[in-house]
Amino acid sequence: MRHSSLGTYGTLKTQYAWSGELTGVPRSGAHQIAAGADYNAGAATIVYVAYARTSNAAQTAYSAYDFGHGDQGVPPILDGKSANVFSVGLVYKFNVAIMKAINRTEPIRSNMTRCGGLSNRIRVSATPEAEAAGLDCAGTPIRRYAGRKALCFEQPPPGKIVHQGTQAKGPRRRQLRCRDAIHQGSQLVGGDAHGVAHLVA
Amino acid sequence: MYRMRGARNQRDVVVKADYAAAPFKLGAAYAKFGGGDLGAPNLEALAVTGSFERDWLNVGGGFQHEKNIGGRLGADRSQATVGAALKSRHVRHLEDSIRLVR
Repeated sequence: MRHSSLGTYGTLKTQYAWSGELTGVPRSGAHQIAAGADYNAGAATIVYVAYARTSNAAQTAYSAYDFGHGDQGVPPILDGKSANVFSVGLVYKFNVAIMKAINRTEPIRSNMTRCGGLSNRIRVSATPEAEAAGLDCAGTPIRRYAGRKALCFEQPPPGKIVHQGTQAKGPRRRQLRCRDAIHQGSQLVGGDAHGVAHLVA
Repeated sequence: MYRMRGARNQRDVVVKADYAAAPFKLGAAYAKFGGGDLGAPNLEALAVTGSFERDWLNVGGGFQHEKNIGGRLGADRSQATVGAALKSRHVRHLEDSIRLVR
């Protein structure tokens, strides 16, 4: 079943599959519908429910294999019958806890600046003064901290961090609304495609 | 897709290509499995896939056509699938809040 990565609450997903008739074999087609929901019960825990129904033509006997959830099949069925599958389960990802434990071994030093992000490289812009002095903050290497939601700069980027308010919108949003030095505890709360971070102290 | 059972001297060809231009992804594949010394007709399969992905939505599908299934001349079949996943609004908001500057 098609799905995307989970967020805090979860994901709804659905799938339709169709198999045409085999040439020369009348009434050999089938189709299937599936629907499911994943609920994220924690950083490493997922609770899911899924339902799938396979409808076979008279000379076909597809089961509901793989489309309910996971790759476990169901017993074979007779030609022309329809299979219904309902599954409920729980997934616990052990590697999430391991990775978090590894990341927690890196303490925040006093000269590190913490903000949010998803990548190990964060692009921040320097003030015009810093850029004029040849100081480029773009691509400043940072380290992960506590999983993927917080990052640490190895060194505070030179100059001041240029950023916008969190509600910057409209055609004039490229204009910077405030310029504050990034400091310990600053949080990245968003960003736009124009290369400017949204930070809050 | 299947290989011919019990055949020798088969000649197989598999060609695959992927293309991604956010938010779209496309894929295509062609495969031909020779009948070998059994003299069975070649099994051929052509498949295409596509997907569209946004922060809150993921839609994708695929189509495949097989020829000479099971080594039987003229035993052809088409199959297709389409699916979608929808994230909750609250999830999207949280993910926006931690997204990096691009």
